[in-house]
Amino acid sequence: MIESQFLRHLADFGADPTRWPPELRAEAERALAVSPRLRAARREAEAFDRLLSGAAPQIDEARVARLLSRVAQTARATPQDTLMVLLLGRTPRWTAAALCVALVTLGWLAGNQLAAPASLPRGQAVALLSDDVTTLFDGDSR
Amino acid sequence: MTGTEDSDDALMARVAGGDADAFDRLAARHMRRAVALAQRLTGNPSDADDIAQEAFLRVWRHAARWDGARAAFGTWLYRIIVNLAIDRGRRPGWSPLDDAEAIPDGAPDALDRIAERQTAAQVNRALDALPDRQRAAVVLFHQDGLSQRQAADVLGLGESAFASLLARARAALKTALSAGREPS
Repeated sequence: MIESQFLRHLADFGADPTRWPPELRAEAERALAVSPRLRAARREAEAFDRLLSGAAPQIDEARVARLLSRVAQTARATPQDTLMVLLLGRTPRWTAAALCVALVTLGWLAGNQLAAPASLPRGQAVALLSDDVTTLFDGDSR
Repeated sequence: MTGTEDSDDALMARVAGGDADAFDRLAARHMRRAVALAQRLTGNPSDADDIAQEAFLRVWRHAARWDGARAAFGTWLYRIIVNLAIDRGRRPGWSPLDDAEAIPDGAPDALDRIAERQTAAQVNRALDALPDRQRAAVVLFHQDGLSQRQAADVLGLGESAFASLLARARAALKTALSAGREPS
């Protein structure tokens, strides 16, 4: 890794080469070991990183306990998503049940309408279908 | 921690089955980091509390959707928090300079502390001006200490896309902070 590459990665990823993309780390350490100029640049980058890392927010025990208590209470009063909820959303139970019954009925009626007429002999139904296929592919019915 | 009955994965499996006690344990384990991340992203303790609570309620409600093979629980939780913080459309506030007045007169390090606060305020303002995802990249990588891989997972990015996002954020911050230090 040449110096300009190292300096670019230093600007992009910060002063700690162990946190750089894995494929760059070994070369970065080698470059650092031989170049005083890169080590100086790294010290400057460390100061910039310290600015960015800032101080950790103070989260006291009482605040965490209060949040845990609220979350536990609210969760116990909140229904979880089940497979039906994922499919139907948060529809009220009776509406969802009515919707299911309506869909089943609709499916049953549609199935009855689309079934082949019972009066037609089985062989004839197959022959009609065969005629349609020939028309489709030859453009001319027999 | 995976592989034991107390692991995040095992607790989540129980949460998905409606086990509220398992949920309590999971929340107790992760709440502090969740609030800290939310506070860093929003800059506001009150918003941070709201976001942390909402994030855990989402974990409870959507536990059945979580797939441990696709993301660690911590990554999933962080993703929820980052998305909530971005949705909220808030920016991190900066420590008001008025706080510096609370330092007692005559304190030997008073001037140093004022200078530190002013620098922190300047950094927060620069962070505040970044686009949401660039700010999230800096917070996750520099402030929360996640690796590039982990931070990329939280933001739903590939590692190289994250590296590019972080590089843009750092360049923008460096420019902003350098400009802020120039004498007017």
